[in-house]
Amino acid sequence: MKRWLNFCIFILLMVNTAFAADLTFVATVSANKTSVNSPIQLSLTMTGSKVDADQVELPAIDGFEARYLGPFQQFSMVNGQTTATKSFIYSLFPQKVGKFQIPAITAKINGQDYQTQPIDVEVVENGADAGQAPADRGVEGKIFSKIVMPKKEFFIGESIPVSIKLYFNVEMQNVGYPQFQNDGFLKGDYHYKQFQEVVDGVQFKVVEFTTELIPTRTGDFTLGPATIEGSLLYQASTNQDPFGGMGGDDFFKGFFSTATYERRPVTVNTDPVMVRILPLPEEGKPAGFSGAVGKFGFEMSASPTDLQAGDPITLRMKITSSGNLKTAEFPDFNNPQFKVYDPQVKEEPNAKSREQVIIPLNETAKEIPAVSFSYFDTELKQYQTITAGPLPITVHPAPPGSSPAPVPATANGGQPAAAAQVHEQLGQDLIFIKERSGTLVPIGFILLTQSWFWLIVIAVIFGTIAAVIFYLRDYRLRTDRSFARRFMAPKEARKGIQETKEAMEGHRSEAFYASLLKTLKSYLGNKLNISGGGLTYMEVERLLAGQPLDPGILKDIKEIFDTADVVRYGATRTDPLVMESHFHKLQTIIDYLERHLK
Amino acid sequence: MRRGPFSIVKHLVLIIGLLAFAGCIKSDVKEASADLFSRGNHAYRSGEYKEAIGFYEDILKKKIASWEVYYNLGNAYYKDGRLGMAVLNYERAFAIAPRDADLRANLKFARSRIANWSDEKTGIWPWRIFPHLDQLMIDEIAWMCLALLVLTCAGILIGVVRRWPLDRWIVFGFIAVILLAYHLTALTLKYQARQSQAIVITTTEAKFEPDARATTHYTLWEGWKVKWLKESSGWVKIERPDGAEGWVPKAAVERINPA
Repeated sequence: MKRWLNFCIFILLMVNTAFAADLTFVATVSANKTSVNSPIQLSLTMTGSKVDADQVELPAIDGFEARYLGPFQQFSMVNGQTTATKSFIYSLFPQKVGKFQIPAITAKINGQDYQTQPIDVEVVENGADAGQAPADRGVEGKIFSKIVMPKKEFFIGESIPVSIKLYFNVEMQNVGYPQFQNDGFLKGDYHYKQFQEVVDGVQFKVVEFTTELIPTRTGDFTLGPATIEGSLLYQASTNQDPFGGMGGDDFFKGFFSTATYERRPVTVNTDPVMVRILPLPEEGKPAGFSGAVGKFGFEMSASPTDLQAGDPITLRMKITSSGNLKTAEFPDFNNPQFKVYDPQVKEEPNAKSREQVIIPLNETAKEIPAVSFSYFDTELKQYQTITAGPLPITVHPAPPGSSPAPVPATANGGQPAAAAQVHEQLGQDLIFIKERSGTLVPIGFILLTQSWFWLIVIAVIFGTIAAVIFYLRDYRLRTDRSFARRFMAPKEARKGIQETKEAMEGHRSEAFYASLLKTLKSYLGNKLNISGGGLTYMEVERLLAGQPLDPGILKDIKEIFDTADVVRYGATRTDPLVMESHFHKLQTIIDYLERHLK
Repeated sequence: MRRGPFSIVKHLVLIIGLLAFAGCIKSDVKEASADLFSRGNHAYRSGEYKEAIGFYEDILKKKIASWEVYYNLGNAYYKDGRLGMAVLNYERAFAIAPRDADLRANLKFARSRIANWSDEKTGIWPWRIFPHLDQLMIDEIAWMCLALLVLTCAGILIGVVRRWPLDRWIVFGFIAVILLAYHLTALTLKYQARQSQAIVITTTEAKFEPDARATTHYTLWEGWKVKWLKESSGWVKIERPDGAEGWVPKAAVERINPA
């Protein structure tokens, strides 16, 4: 018996505890700033599955005189769950100017004590801006909105969660989605939810719109202001009680009076928000980084792992993230030991997966090599690489005469395949767009129209021709002595002529004629490929006999030979005019022979 | 996308060939173009194909492009029901990236939707002689010709230095001439084709004279590839793959080479 009694008490306590656990007790005011002659309303609201409470006795509130207006009760049932709300309403009349605090108020609810939070209220002079609301409050101080973001700096490609909250404590309808300029960002779809929130002691209904932005450029940007349009519902007029005299009681007034409501359009703007989009660092960027920014997970699996050569394996990769999956690309799988088919990609909430059929070409394939997925972690502000695999496999040689297993449908975009060796099938629709814009080039650029290209071509051709000519000439000079002597003859003659001229100008007849003769002999020796030192006129005459030369030239040559010998051995002085004449004859002889001697 | 054997060559060609122009495309233009590209993709994914077309065309208005831009524009036009413009942009992308498998697939798929069109009608006898050159960009062929010229000149220099005998000179000369002639011919044909080819962007009638009142010769269907012969007073004289010529309104055809 005693045990049974204890059990019942235990159950009752548990039930009461359950009832008590979900109970809330909140104090709210209609305004937290008022003037001396403007009362505010204080509501003490108890909410729970069961509310059992008497009228709450207010403590003394400095600066205010309180008057009890009455209780208010409400019940609701949702999905079998009952919620009871009981409120006690008071009017608070300000007595003086200043800043005051409504203290925490204690009440006994369901046999237990509960306490509210204190509320600050400011009382200003009459005529002052008593209804001044926080800077972002809107129409009549009862509607405002704001943009909420977790931080102000993000990286390019990072998913930015944006929340736009609309606060109101009036009747509103037809609330539209927020609109704002988002140049430099991609915007996702909106989701919304409704709830209540106390702001500065005032209870507001809240509609929260959430979306995600993905920055596509770096720099400083201004988001918003976000504009939300809706309709205010307000009471336009109240008709007279038709029964007259009986409408003194509130009950009858409410029962018989008819009020008309009208809608007024309202636009609520948030303040703009500055954000900074940072570029991804170049330092430490892995080679395989494809643009994934955020927090990611990566895994890879394969099945079957015990098979025959030529049988297909389904290779599955999965990227998970709560952030931007659009820029996350799967690493390529390419290995010469496997035949690889085109993959199929599926997108799921917060994940994307890829299935790809690969076929080991022979039994030497022992594993599916590891693949790496790199991303930029925005919390750690550094690149991370996740490596999956290698995955060991066992490939048996295919028995002779066996046909390979058919390739699964996923290998060919959903189309059935008869055997593993089927050719790649093209899809029956367009292949999807490219995610990256690639290398941008000037439109119509063609190499053939570029002058620098043709300059290279001309340089190559002429350079080759010049190189060949110079090489051949150089080679002949090195190997053909006769040619080399003939080639060098004019150059050496010019030197000799210069020396002869200097001797002539110095009036040194012996040196002049020595140089004159030496130059002529050297030139003739080089041109005829003989030794010039001991050359005599008779020998010159004999060697030149077969050449079709002007006889006057031979005569001049003989004259120079004879005169030079006389001067050298006779030690006689010669007239400068004669020397000059002989000098010019030397020049004429060399010039003539250069043109006519073959 | 699987990478083919010419992928590295293609990228090398682009890098070398465009070094002189790299500085001419300013970084802010590139960034703005990348932004437009992202917006276009976003609109495409949302099914807003006209909006996507607008974004991609805005990139082209900056006088810059990439094969990916043309490819996506082709997709967007196709989805928007404009087959002619889709084929035109695929062809422009093909001129830049002739080996991309996705692009080839989409171009083939779009061509399969062209009325009364068969690839056999192109009469492309030069391409039977130069089949692999269909896979190369015109700039790649130009670089190959230059490389062959350099090799030929190097061969000549080596031959001169090493004093090749006559028979070796004959063999070398024969091979060099054949290779150079082959590639120069292919380059010339490809360049001429690129300069003269056009796509019919709206179905139209080809007239005997450049006059709307003239007798109709035949109908040209949207997406057909034709040869642009000459232009006169808002009309263009074109040649069909089978050689039939006619005059069409200039607005009905557009050159593949946009420059």
